[in-house]
Amino acid sequence: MKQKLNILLLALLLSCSAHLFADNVALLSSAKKAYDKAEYEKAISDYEKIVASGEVSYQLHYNLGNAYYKNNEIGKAIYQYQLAHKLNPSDEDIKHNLTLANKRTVDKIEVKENYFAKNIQSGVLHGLTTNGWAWFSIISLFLGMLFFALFKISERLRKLFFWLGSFSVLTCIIALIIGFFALEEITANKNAIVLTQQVSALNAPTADAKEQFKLHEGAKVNVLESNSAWTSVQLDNGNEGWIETKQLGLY
Amino acid sequence: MQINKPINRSLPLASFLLVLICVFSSNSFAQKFTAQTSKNKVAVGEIFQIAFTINTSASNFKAPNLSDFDVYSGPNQSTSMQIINGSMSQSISLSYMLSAKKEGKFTIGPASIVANGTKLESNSIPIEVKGGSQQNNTNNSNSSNAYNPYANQQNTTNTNQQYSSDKSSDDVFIRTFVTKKSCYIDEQIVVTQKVYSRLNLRGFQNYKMPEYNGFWSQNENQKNKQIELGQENIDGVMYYVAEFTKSYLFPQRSGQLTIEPMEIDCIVRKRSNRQPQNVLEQIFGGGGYEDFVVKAKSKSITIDVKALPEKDKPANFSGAVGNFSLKAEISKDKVKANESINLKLSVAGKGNIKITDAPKITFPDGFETYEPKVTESYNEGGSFNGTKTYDYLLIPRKAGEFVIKDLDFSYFDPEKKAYVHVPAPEFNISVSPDPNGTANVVIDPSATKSEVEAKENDIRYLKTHDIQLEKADTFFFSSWKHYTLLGLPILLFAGFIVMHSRMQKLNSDVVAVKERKAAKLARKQLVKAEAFKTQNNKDGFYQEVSIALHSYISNKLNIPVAELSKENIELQLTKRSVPAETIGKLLATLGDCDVARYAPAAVSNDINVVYNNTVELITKIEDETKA
Repeated sequence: MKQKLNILLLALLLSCSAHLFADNVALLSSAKKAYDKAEYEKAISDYEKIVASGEVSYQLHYNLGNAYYKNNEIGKAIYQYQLAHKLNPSDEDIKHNLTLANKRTVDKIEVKENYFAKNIQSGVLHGLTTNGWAWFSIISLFLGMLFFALFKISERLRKLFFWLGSFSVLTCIIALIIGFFALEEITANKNAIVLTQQVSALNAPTADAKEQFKLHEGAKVNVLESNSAWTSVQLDNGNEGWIETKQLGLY
Repeated sequence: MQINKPINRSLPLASFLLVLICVFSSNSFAQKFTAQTSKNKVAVGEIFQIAFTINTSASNFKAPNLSDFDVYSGPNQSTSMQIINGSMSQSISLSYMLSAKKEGKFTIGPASIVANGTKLESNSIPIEVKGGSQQNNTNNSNSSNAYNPYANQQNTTNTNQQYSSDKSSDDVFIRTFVTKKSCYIDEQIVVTQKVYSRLNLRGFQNYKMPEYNGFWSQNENQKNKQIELGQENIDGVMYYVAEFTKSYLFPQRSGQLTIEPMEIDCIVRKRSNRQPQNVLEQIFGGGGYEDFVVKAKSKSITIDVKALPEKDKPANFSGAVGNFSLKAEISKDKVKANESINLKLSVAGKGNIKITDAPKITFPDGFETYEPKVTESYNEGGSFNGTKTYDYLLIPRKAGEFVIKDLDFSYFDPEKKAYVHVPAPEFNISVSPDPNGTANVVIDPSATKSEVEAKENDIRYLKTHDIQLEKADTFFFSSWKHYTLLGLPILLFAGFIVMHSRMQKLNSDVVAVKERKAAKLARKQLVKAEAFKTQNNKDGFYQEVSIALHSYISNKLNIPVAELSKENIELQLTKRSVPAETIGKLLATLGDCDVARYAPAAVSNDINVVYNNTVELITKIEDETKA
């Protein structure tokens, strides 16, 4: 039994360790060199190669965002920062650069709703990464089981251990629930950034539909529905329209 | 399977029926998309109309290929609605005004449109185009044609064609007027485009504004402009004249700059040589005129632009060229620290005022300043002039006497060909300390502010540490790894519970074994006691008996020896339904042993009797606990 458990643990450890492809390591360092030499196009192409290989991390998106920012492609920079922010919502560098990039966008969209409740919600959801929530749930469940075991053995502190155990299991469940919501938010692609200099939002998903409003590079929109050709978007001020999906970065 | 088959077969049938019903029901208010033309036979250059009509709301109109024709206007959309017997019908028509480019037989169409989700195609229209000389052969069948506003034009296409081809040069032309052909950079030039016509001007279409490359241009406000028609005599010929546009240009570089030609399609009206067709036309003269389009084009004009002289160029020259005046005002000159002051600087005059920068003012140290608020107002007319006002908000943070100076303004006057310096007053401001006392706390707000700004003006550097690349869109959360790790503590706990209960069972087994072997062990102990008995060693004997009895009871009742007290033994044995008599004997024997060990002389009992009693007791207890 013990042996089996050991094998299982070993397998877990092996699969958890990062798969850093040798190519990607080389690309990371060459991109950094290019960035330092202000060859931003080169840095962008190197980082994009890593992204194309299917491997990402919040640092990669952040660095790519920096390269786009320096190359004056604000829309793409904001998009990359948003991707990074999604993977690691508490990172201050990402927030800082995102704020700076947003200052350079053209569109100022008036926000109609009161976001107080939403802020609290996002504060909770973004308190940890989904990985963070996963580990949180595991550790609290582990502690809970430990406390219950102590409760079984101990004679004098039975009550205390019982309550501690129940509390830990409850925390585990809450962490799981929040984690599911956070994961849902990450995978749902509910937002998008305008990538090209100017796009027209139309009143129908056809090329000759009437224009509703114009958006400029870097503008953030909410995605209502999307397919490979057209995306229905809504602005924070309530306006809705259809935009060609290739002009947007969904996240 | 057999039940399924008929259902499968009936499904397509049902849907087919459904489609049929749909087709028939939609047919009852059939969507018609038709194309009509004012003429099927036209001459080259003759204007005719084609119209596409649909009797329902529709979208996604795709026009047919019209590359064989010149499109004068269109698509022009018109919508009409009718309510007959309470049911509404709607029709939309899209029309084009066309003229043929060359002779031949052409087919227009079909056009397509999407109505209620279905794509409809119109009929296509054959058009026969003939040369100008043959057009009199064209058949007059247009009285039945509803879409024929140009029906009467047919007989006069001869002249029409003539005008659109070669009359543009003398009957209708455009002249470009400029106020100057030679000027300085940024000097104002007024460009006026005038249309001259010997024929009555009816309107303009398809005009192309000229490109002013190398100029900063301000077009005259077109919104409320009514083009006024005047008359002018050129070389003895009266022309109608319309001032089409007026632009104010400011050349941005020196050298030869060209004002590109302008093209306008003018609609002119000419009396026709056709006789009036009916009484109405005779009265109102309707048949006597018709409109046609003439292309007019201006000539390009070259402007010679000189650079501004470098000689005597003032240091504070900010690029203003023209004729300006300066006014400077200050809201108050005696303030307390942290109170705001407004400085108003307004530049007025004619010239490139709109593109000049705010004057650079160096304010005294300790003044917090903001970017000026700029208000502009401009007038158009003979020249471009206006006023630009800069509102500065100043907040002195320190007490003291300050002077705001160097507000002077310089501009280049192209008339005088010299720079002009406009002096401005100096303002003395006395700042008294802030009664709230915070004035002196702020040491140098501008310095700290700019420092902070510098910090926050650039993005933060790349992240280079601990980059762990992972497969995109794979998350640890909710993965099998996550669930396995979640399962692990539960498994461990379950394992613990199993182990724990086993240990408990094992423990209880040990007790049973001990209990079973208690008598055996006691007897072994008593063998030692017997040895002491034969040696008549009372001390050793009593000790062994005491140990034998204690360990027997301890094992039997699963109570540690240390916890054996009289009360405890009595309690436990009673529980196991040992009679009180036996318990009394046991306790007495134990008491005897204790007394004998510590005061051997006090015990008179024969050790043989004690030995037998003990053996008897153990046997008795064994019997009684078994039962």
